[in-house]
Amino acid sequence: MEWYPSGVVLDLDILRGERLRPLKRAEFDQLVRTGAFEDERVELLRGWLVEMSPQGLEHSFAIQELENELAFLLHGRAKIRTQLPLAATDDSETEPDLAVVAFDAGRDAQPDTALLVIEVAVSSVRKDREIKARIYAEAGVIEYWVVDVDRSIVVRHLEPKDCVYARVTEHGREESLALQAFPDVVVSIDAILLAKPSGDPA
Amino acid sequence: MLRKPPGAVLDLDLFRGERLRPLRRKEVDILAAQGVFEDERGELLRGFLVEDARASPGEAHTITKLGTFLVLAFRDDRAQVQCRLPLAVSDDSEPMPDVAIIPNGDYQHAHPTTAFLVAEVAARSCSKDRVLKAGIYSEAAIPEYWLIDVERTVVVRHVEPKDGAYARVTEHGRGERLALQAFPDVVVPIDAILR
Repeated sequence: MEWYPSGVVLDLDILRGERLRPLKRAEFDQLVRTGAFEDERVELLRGWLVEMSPQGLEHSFAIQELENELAFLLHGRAKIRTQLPLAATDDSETEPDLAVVAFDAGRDAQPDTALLVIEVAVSSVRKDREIKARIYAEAGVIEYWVVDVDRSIVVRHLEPKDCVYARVTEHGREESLALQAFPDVVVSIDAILLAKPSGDPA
Repeated sequence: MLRKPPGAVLDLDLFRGERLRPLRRKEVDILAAQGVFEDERGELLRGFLVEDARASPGEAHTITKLGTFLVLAFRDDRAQVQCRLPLAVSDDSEPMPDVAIIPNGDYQHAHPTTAFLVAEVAARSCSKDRVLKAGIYSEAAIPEYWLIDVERTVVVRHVEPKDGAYARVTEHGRGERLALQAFPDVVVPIDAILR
């Protein structure tokens, strides 16, 4: 970050109406190979370089619990990737908080789809639900969860079709979810969310 | 003119509130060296690759007239003239001004980084030239910037770059003659460059 001080939010309105040239994933990958984003946390979303949100305790706790639980339950059947690249579309390369991929994926190239993607959202709900849901649907990710920490729910997306998920349902703390690809693998939502401080009605 | 791939208008509402990481000139240079932008015309402005619109006949006329006038005025080799070529003004911007007077130098391996004068020719007052580029050129301490509006047949002259803006902005119409700040003996009659 030698040139652009972190903390600069561009006034994007100065670009309103201009035709901008988005980056392609192949171009992004070329830059990555030259070490371009080494000390930065950025994802390519629809051709734009988007900085990733900083991770708080609730965020890392959910990922930690999910990773351990899924790694145990899926041992030998699928691989768990935590905050690693997913070559989702020609104009997007995300780093999902967690992805369940085929057992032999990720060897010759970054995986381009997944059996399950999970994003844990503290401040990024809109990005995860509006921008990334479409990207994952387009990539044919068969199941996508947004763990909405503030509302203590999991928003589950199923049936990707024409770049959207046909079925979007919300699930509360008391529920458990069986994975679409592995129906015997059941995750308790309560186990991945930190307890709310007492007195908090949620 | 075909452009591959077609540009997109950034969906500002979808990305509102997101922190977008601007591209750096160094990164664009890496991609350009690999031929990525071969069939495209665009400028890096504030870290975004902005497509360059095709010049209308009126714009092309003025670019050619001004370019030719300046080439003749500088045939004594005091400075060089370039048209629609890169100016590497900052770490996140590489505009291609329609006309620029640049210092003499060897630019075979690196684009010039500054200019005595830059001119942008527009068929309408567009915020890209008025706001975005004026900001970029003034930050680069380019002493004089002309925004030539071929519809209104005026030259909007910007001088005295200071704190990211030009302190003096004046409009000049037909019949007027403009002496360059850096070369006061070079006087451009506006009638010679506008239809």
